[in-house]
Amino acid sequence: MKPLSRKFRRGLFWGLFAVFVVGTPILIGYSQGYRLDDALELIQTGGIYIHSDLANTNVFLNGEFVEDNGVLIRNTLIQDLTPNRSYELWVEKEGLQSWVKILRVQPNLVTEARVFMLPETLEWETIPATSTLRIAGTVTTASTSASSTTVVANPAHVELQTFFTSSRDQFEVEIATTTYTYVGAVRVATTTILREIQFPGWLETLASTSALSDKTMVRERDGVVAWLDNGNIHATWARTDEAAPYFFCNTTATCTPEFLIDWEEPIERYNFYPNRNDVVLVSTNRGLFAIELDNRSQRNIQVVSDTPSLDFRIDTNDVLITFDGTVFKTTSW
Amino acid sequence: MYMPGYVPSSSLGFDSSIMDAVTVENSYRNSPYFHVAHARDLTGRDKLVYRLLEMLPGFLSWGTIITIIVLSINAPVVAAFFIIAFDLFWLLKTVYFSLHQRHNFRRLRHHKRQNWHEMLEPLKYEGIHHMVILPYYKESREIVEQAIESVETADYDRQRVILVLAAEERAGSEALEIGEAMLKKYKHTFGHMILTVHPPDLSGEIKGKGPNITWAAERTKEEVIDPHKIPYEDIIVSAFDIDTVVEPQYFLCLTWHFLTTEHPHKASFQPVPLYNNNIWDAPAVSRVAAFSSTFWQMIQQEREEKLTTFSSHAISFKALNEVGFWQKNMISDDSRIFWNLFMANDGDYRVVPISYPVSMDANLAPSLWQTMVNIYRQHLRWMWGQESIPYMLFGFMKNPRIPFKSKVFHTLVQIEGFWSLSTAPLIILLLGWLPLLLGGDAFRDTVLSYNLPFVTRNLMIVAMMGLILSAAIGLSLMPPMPERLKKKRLSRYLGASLQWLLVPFTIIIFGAIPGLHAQTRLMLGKYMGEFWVTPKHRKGS
Repeated sequence: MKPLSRKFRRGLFWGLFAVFVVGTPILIGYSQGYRLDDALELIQTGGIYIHSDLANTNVFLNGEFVEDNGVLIRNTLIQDLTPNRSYELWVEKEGLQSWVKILRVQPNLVTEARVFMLPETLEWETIPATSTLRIAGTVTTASTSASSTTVVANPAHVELQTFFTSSRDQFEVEIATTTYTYVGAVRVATTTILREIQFPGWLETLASTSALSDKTMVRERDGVVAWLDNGNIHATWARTDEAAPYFFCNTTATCTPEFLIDWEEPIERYNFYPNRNDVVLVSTNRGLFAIELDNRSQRNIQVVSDTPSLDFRIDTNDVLITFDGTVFKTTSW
Repeated sequence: MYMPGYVPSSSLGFDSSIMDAVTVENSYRNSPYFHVAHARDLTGRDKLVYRLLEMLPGFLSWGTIITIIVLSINAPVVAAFFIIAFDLFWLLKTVYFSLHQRHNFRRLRHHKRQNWHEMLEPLKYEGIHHMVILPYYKESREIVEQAIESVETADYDRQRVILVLAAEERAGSEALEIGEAMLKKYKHTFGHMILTVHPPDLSGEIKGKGPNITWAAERTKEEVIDPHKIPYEDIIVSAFDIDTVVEPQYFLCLTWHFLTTEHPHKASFQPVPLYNNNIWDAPAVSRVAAFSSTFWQMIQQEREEKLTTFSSHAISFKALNEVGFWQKNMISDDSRIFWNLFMANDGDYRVVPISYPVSMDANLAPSLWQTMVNIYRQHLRWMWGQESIPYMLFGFMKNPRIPFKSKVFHTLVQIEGFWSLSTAPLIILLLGWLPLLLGGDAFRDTVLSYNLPFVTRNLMIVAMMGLILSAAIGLSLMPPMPERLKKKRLSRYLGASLQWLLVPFTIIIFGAIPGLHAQTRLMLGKYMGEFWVTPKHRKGS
């Protein structure tokens, strides 16, 4: 049996070489998003990339089902989109509030967005101020008979009260000042603890240009700095050595330095949503809401609670705790 | 009908020494560069040129890697274009190689089934002697004896077999005792059998296989060939490793190829190395590494113009004698002998693939870790074969009688081969991600950035389809499972099929990294000074 003939090998080589010569530019063009449109003209398409932490959501584009995002790779890449058009994204899942976004697609670019979908009904646990203790046995004396139940302060409630009163703002530090006075010949030391706002070094420039010391509720999450000013939330990208995240950039891919969440009713309190720097929890006299910073189309606003003017905190386990002046409630999303 | 290319000189009364005297005068083999091992063996400008040539393989591979890193940072789009083009190139190369591999597999099976007695009938081959050199170091008696027994039981007139057991004195008395015991047992089995003992620390030699087999060949010439007046032209020398086990018709097949090859003294003969002796005992990673080596040789067997000698090979004694046998001052004697002969014959030299298997040991050590260490060291030694690139290029500069076309061809083949071995797995499996990691936000937002991993992944999935072919061929080439392992028959076969999933790991750990390691050492002038003998271990030994 003879080896492969030179003729066959040469033919195979040049055949594959031709595939390489023709295939490489096609493959590179395809990878850059070049496609033939309906008029058979070459256009450079764009795409949309949806980040998601949620499994098994249904993704729709312009009303058409795209995919169930599955369990493992939960992000969705939608490609081959004709550029310079806006596309409506709709993500839904039973039991969760839907997320909608209208995004404009640019040629050769992938427009990013991140889904956030809260449960339609959050399960709340109420922490009452008092507890009723049931006495196991009845103690009877000659003169009186003991009650079988007694009302005591609820320790969980007390703990939350302490948590609320002692919690500080993100950049607030306690400074102890000791003064000495003499009562007769005895020197008496008096220590006063003051709270003061101190920003880290990397935030100093922003702090001075935006007069952050004069603002209230200045918070930072993964490079996004927000504050409350006249009942509105201002947010900006503070890391000068890194490009701003996609949600700071508008539809023409130019990035804006600052967001403003400007509502009719004043925002009383806010904080970043757990593990997100693009969503904030906002409390007003209409209730408690989660709001996207991303304003490339109408912001998604999802209801957390319709109780007005709630005070709230998020503990280290990402549990949301609300307080309406009487009762504490907790939920774990 | 075919025309035999060679008539044994014994049937013509031909005196080879006359031709030797005529051709030796102007030959490159008499030049001071002929047996150069490294730049340090030269002086002046030659030394500088040779040194630069030693740096070339490492320069190309590191240059490629560094260029991709720099491009990924500064021009990620260009880096992505290169990676996509390279991935497609690799896929097409896989298709090209798979067709070669498949054909060679069919040829290998055909050659194993072929009745080589019948093939040899029309030829005068009674005068052809086979000289088999079995160099050994500290291997066990079991391994030495298995190699001798396979020669003994091979289908060839044993009276025309010269068996040379080549011991190393530095291996100690136990090794010599094994040799003497073998000599005593098999002396009368073969036409000639001698035990040679290579002395240690001879001037101009490294500790390695090359000096030992050259010593053995020279002693055999003095003690057997010349006294018995066996014409050099009529002797085919098979230079084996001590674990080489020949299949029954090896010598017949080799003889047929020798006799039907035009100018057989200007050719080496290359069997296909299998690693079947202990393949069922070897761990999956070792089996994959062993079969990868076999498959590469199978592919090369179908493109003989690119083939160089590797591991166990055969050459006529005449050709070997003309160049002073194997080089004694370097590690890669098996491939260097090809380049010695190529230079000595002014480019008129080739390797004839015989597509017939010989079997050796797959790497196996008492522990998996030690097995992996041994595979790495063995592959590092094989990759050190790149020391022949500067030798080849230097020879091309110094020998004007080699055709220019041939010089260009071999330069491209050798450099691309070693460059590809060292860099391709890294480009495909690791560096392909660099533009995404280093390309910055502007690149990360592009469609190209999102598509790069998908395109790479999909091309490689298609390329990996070749592994299905590899799995099938690998299973077909494996010997029957030993009786003692048949209780776990199913899991063993399953393991032998699924082992190919380790390929992305093995081509980096036992391909690219030892390749780069060898190139870097050569580039820095840190020459390997000693031949690392792969330990031979058998289960139960």
